[in-house]
Amino acid sequence: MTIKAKPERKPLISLQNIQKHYGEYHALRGINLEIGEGEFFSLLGPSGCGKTTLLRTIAGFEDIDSGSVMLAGKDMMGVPANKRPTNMVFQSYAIFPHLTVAENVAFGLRKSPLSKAEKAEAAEAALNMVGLSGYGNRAAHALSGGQRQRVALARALVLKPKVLLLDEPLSALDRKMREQMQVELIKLQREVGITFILVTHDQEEALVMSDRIAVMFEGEIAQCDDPEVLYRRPKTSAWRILLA
Amino acid sequence: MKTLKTYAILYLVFLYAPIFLLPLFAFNTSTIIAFPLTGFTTEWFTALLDITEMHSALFNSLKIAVTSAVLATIFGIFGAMASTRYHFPGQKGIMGFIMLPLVLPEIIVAVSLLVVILKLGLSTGSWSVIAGHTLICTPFAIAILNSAFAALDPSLEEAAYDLGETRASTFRRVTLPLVMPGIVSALLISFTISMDEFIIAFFLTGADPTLPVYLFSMLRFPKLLPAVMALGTILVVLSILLITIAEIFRRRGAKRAGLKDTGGFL
Repeated sequence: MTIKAKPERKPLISLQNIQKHYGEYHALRGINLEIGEGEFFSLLGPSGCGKTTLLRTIAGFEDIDSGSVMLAGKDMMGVPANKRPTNMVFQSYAIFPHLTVAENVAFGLRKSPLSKAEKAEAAEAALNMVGLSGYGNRAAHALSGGQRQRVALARALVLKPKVLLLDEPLSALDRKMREQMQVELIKLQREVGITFILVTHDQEEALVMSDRIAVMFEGEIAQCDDPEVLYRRPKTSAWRILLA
Repeated sequence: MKTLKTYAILYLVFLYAPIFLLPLFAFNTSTIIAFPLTGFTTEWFTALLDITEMHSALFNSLKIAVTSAVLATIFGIFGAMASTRYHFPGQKGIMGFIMLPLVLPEIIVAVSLLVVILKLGLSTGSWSVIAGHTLICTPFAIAILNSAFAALDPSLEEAAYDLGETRASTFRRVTLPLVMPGIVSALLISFTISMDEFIIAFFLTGADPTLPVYLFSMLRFPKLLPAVMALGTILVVLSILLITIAEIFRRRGAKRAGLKDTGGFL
C-alpha cells in the first residue's frame, strides 16, 4: 500500500513498488511512497537499510530493477540525473577544489540562458542565502567543513530544483556546528519552499528537522509518520531499529 | 651510522660523477677522453652544428618521443579510468596483461615486434619505433595516472553530472583539471623513456636512426667523441630544465587543487 502525502500537500514525488538488487543483495524491497510539495522529509535508518540507495534512485544515479519514480507528474524512467529537476548535497560535499567559491556556485548555470552578470548575481544571492556573502573569490579548498556545506547548498539551490536531496549532510560536522546547521537548514527550507529529502542515521536530527519521517529497515519502510506520532506512538518494529 | 653515511655518499658519487664528466670533457681541447685536461674550448659545440646526420637523428628522436608520449598518455587515461572507475569481469587479468611490458625484457618486445612486422611484409621506420615505445610507455603512464584517478573523490564527478553536465563535459570541467598534474607527469616520464630507449629503437628503426642509435654508431669514430660529449651536456641540461619545469607545474597544480603534496614522481 502506498504511503500517501498529507492531504494539505500536493504530491510531488511518487514512488511505486521500487525494487533494487545489488547482485544477490536485495537493497530496496518494494518502496511505495508519496512526498508532498514543500515538505521536509527524512529517511531515517541504520547503515545498509537502503536509505541512501533510495535517495540516489530519486536523483537518477541508480538504475532500479522495477517500479516507477514520478516527479511532478512526469515518469523519470530513463531520465538521467543531469536531466532531473533534483539536486543533491553530497555527504563529502563534493566541492570542486580547483574552482573559487563563486565558480562552484555558478557551476550548474553554464547552460542557462542568463547573461554573465545575471549568473554572477544569482550566485551571490545564493551565497547570501546561506550566509556566505562576500566569500565568492575565495579558493574552495581553503574553506572549513561548515563553509563547504554551505557552498554545496548554495550550488544546488541556485538551480532552483523542485527537490533538494541531502545525503547525511551533517555527519561530517562537529556537534556544535551540526546543531547550528540543523536550525539553519530548517529556516532555509521554509524560505525557499523547496521539498527537502534528508537521509540520516541520527534520530534526533530527523525528529527535530522533519515534517515527516520514514524509518527504513532492510530495504523497507517500517513506519512513516510525523515526528510527534513517531515519537509518541511508535510501531515496535520502528523503535527497535531506532534504539539499535 | 658513519659507515652508512659514507656508503650513501659513495653511492651518489658513483651514480652522478660520470654525468659531471660529460661537461668536463665537452669543454676540453683534446680529442682523447683522458686526464689531465688540456685546455678550454667551445669548438665541439660549434662542431655539432655541422653534423647534419646528428641533427636529423635528434629531430627523429624528438618526433618519436613526443608522439609516443602523447599516445601512451591517452591510452594511460583510458586504462587508468577502466581500472579505477569501473568493475568488469576479468578486470584484474586484463590490467595485468596491460602492465606486463613494465617487467618484460625489452629485447623480447623488440624481437617479437620485428618478427611480426617482417612477417606482415611491412617495412620498419619511425612508425614501428613509435609503436614499440608506446607499448612500453603505456604501463608507466597507467601507473602514474592510476594514483591520480584513485585520489579523485568520485562524488565530484557525480556532483558535476547532477548539476546538469554530460559525461563528456564533466570529464572536461572536473576530471581533467583535477588529474592534470598526473597527466603532465605521465607525458614527461613517457617522453624521457622514449627519448633514451635503445634496444627497441635499434631493432625497429628504419633508415632514420634515433639519437641513441646514432650515438652508438658514432662510437666507432674517436674523432667525433668530444662532440658526442658536447651533445650529452646539452641533453643533461635540457632534461634537468624540463623536469624542474614539470615539477613546478605539478606542485602548483596540487596546491591549487588543495591536495596533499605526496612528493611527486621525483
